[in-house]
Formats: sequence, structure tokens, C-alpha cells
Amino acid sequence: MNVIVAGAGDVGGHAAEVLSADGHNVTVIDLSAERLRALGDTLDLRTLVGHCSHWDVLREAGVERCDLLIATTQVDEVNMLAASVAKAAGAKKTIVRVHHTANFSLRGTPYAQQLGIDELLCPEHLTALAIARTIRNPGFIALEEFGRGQLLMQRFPVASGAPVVGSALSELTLPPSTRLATVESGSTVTLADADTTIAEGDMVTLIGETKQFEAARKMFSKDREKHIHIAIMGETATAVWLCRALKSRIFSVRLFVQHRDRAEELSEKLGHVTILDADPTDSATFADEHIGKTDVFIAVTDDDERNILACAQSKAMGVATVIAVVPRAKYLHLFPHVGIDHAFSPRADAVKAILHLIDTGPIRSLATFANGIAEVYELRPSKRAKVLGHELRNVKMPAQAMIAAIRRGDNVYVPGADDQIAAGDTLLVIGPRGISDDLRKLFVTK
Amino acid sequence: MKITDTLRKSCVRVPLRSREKIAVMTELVDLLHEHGQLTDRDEALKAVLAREKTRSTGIGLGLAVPHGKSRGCRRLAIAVGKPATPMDFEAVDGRPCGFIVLLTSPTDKTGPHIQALASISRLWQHDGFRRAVAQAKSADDLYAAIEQHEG
Repeated sequence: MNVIVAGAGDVGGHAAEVLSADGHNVTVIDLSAERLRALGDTLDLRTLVGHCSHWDVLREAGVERCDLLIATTQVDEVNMLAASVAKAAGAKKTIVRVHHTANFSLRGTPYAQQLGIDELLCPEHLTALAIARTIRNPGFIALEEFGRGQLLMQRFPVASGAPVVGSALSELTLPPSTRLATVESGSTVTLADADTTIAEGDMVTLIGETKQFEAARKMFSKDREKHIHIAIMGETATAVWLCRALKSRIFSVRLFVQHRDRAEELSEKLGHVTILDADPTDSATFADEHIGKTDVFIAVTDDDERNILACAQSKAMGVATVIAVVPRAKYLHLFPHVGIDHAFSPRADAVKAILHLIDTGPIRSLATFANGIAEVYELRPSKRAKVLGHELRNVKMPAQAMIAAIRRGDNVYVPGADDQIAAGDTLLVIGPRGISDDLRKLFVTK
Repeated sequence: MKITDTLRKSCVRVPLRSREKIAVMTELVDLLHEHGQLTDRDEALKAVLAREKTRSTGIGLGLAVPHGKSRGCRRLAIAVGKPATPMDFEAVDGRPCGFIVLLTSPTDKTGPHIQALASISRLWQHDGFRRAVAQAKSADDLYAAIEQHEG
């Protein structure tokens, strides 16, 4: 594949390194000859000094025969422009790195397409999701990320005396836009179908549109969920995304920031989070805010050293799980051994995501859950797929698989039996592991 | 990384002569300087004291890791000491400190610095290591304890 990487910074340099090692034909553009020399000396790739948004520079880099342009300079606007120019000049696919929340929210909109941007990449956002996945079930995060706030997924025990106990799923009427995904009874996991019966003490996983969710939940459980207490230290973009990724009733999140004005700004943006302008590693604050009693402590300042010390300290003071973000990916592998439970690097996460984006076919697996029995698939039916225009009751899905959600433009919903799949939809399917081929036969017609 | 790859036996002192926070940091920097680990003793000390001012490095359970980055050394240098009796280090948990690990690094090489901090934090989470440190009566004992628990 011919790849142009615009910007040889942390993300760009690392991406170039990984892609050229994978045998791709990589050209890197940067304004700094020195930075390019450092890359070119150690890697087998072509380098070019110049403005990556300039047409002549892109042409010299071979944009007409380019399969993929990755724009990763420090400036969002330059990246967006580079993608736009490259796309117009013939680049097949563009990936744009952005820092600002506002630019990232272009993701999936027609505006992004008009600009020639195929994918937007925000490493801070990716790291936040990676952290959230260690605290929450990855399958749930995959679904909620797919739903962009319009869907929820939760796992909880069935209470004694709940209205559903002893019933088969076919006898129950769940609220519209909610679905039962799995039932775990002892060590047996079942992907729910019409014959599935529900017993007291079973663990059920429920999916639904946010507004209907509580009504469905009440049929299974009267209990309120146990809250997980999370303390986050830092005011970086990662911290903000992390707060968003942890927006759920089961989390009680406190964010510690250093500056009062930033605290005020964030209080407006993050209504579900308690924001304090205090240093959680300060002994008075640590004691007053009972940080030793939180379930999870996460350090995401832009200072590696501070993050590590804060985590070491929290661990010493009794916090069960501590997580540090360390922007220098090179020594990331050390962390599982240092008593810091998890460590993350935005740079490494970004490159992982780029590889994932390159690999995108019509079907991809997003995550597994329920001990690896169930898998979450995202798929885009081809334009001539036979299933288009049929009511879902007439679509014969692979055994135990269901269409959990449909994304159409900006809207995401949980479909019922009367709904149809339209051209251009993206589907989220939950089913047994390893059914990609069956799904491909049904939804992807060449 | 192993602490004992960097730490020299000559830079371990049990017990420390000083009993006060700033004096102890100065004593450990001087210990590094006496053994040729520093190129500029004053710069190294200034950086450690400045870092300590921002926030105590007493990170709990009796460990303190004063550290600083400066032009005062060419590579990571570590000095370790135990005060005669545990002393106040303004630690976050308010407990006295019985084990002090001082690090100095050049400003442009932060990788080993962070790794060393991480390694010390990890060691300190083992009860066995904390006990061995508490029982160490001499520099040899203390060095042996570190060596043994690093495995």
C-alpha cells in the first residue's frame, strides 16, 4: 500500500515506523529536515521536507497513487486541509488526527465527507476509551460508543420476585427499543432467544435506548446498582474524554484539576462529574476527600513522573486499582510490573487505531463479552444485499445472533421486528463468537 | 530496570547522619558527589530541593523518593539512606519515613529516571521488602535487601 504520513511527530513518526515495518511503501512529509533525518536514518522510507497541505508537495509525495494519507501534524486545520487536498488529488482514503473536541465531533457527519476526511482520529479520545474499557466491560463500551450516547448496555443479577422470573423470553413484553442480550446461569452463558427462560440470580445483560432503559431494567431488578467511585487527576483532553466515557449511573466520578478557571470551564462541560480544583496527592486533600477509599484512581496529567508517583502513592494508601497515562510509549511494557495496574499511551493507541482503520472491511469485530462467548460485530451491508428493504422478522439471522442497533445518519436505535435495514446503515450485531462469515453471506453481496 | 544496576554500594548510607528533611537530601547529594556521580553538586541539589518544594515525595508507607533533573549529572544517579530513626518527610499519609531514595538525572534523559521511580514504587509494595529495609542495620544489609528483592 502507498502511504503518505503528513507530520513526523509522536503519532506520525510511530505510525510511519509501524507501517513501513509492515512492508508498506511510506513517504513522510514534515517541515523539519532534522526530524525527518532522524526517522529516515533508522527506517526504510522516503522523506520530503515541505508543507503537507500544499498541492505541489503532496504531488511530489505521490498523492495521485496514494492509498492512504494520514495527517498528524500538531495543527488540526492543517491536517484537515491536507486531507482535503489529498483526497481531491486522488488519495483513496484519508485519516486525520485532531486535538480539539469540536473538530473530533465532525466524525461521521456529511461535512467530514465533503472535506474529504474519511476518518478522524483523536489519540486522547482513544486512550480515554482504552482506560474506560479496563473499568467497564469492553462489549458495553463498544455498544455505547457505537450509539454515541443514545444506547446503554448493562449487566446485573435478576432479583428474587422480579416480574420476569420463571418466564421464557417469548412470554415477556420488554419495553420497545430494549433487548435482552445474554443470560448467565452459573457458568453457562446463553445468548438470549425466544426460548430462553429467566431464573432468580441469573446475570442478565440488557441493551436499550437510553430513554427506555430504566423501565426494562425494573422488570429484572429492583436494586439500585452499586456505585463505583473513581477519582481522576488531570485536566488534559484525555481526562475530559475519560469523564465522558464514564458517564453512567454506576459511576461516581470526581475530577481533580489544578486551575480554578479550568475547573469552572469543565464544570459546565461535564455536568455528571464533581470537579475540584485541588491536588489529590496533597495529604490534606487525600484525607479530606477519602481518596484511599475510591475504587479506581486514574492519573492523566501531561507529566509522566507525576502520574507514576501519584499512582504509587494511591496504591500505598489502599486504592484497589490505579491507572497511569504515560505519553512516552517506549517504556510502557514496564507498567504491569510496577504496582500500577494499567498504563496507557496515546501514541500507541493511535497507531493501533490506524491499523484497525486500514483493515476495515464491511465487517469487524468490536469486542467480546460474557466470558468471550458473545461477540459484538459492526457491519455495513453492501448496496445490493438481499436483506435491504425486508422487515427484520423476515430476515433469517445466524442462530442466536441479533441486530442490537442500527445507525442511520446521526440516529441510533434498537430495531424491532417491523423495522427494515436501509442502504447506508451501519449495524451492530451481537452473536456467538466467530460468525463473521455467516454475517458476510447475509449482508455483503459482491 | 534494576535499581542495583545504577546504585553503587558506596552510595548507600545507614544510618544517615542528618535527622531533618533538607539536611538528609543534602547529605545524599553530597554522598553522590563524593563518589564522582555528579558533575555539579550545587545544580543537582538545587533541582532536588526545588522539586521537593512543589510537593512532598514522601509517597506513603515510610518511603520518600526525592528527585530532580538538572545539568548536575551526566546520567541517572541514585543514593539510598536510612535515618537512625524514622523521620518526618511531610509524607502524604503523615507517617514518618524510614527509607529515602534520592535520584538525580540529566534534563534530557528522562526515560531511566521514570523507570527508576517506577521500580522503587513497585519494590515498596512488597511487605517482605519493607520488612527487610526496616531490619537493615548497615549499608551492606540494605544493599543486599534491594538486590535480593529485585530478584
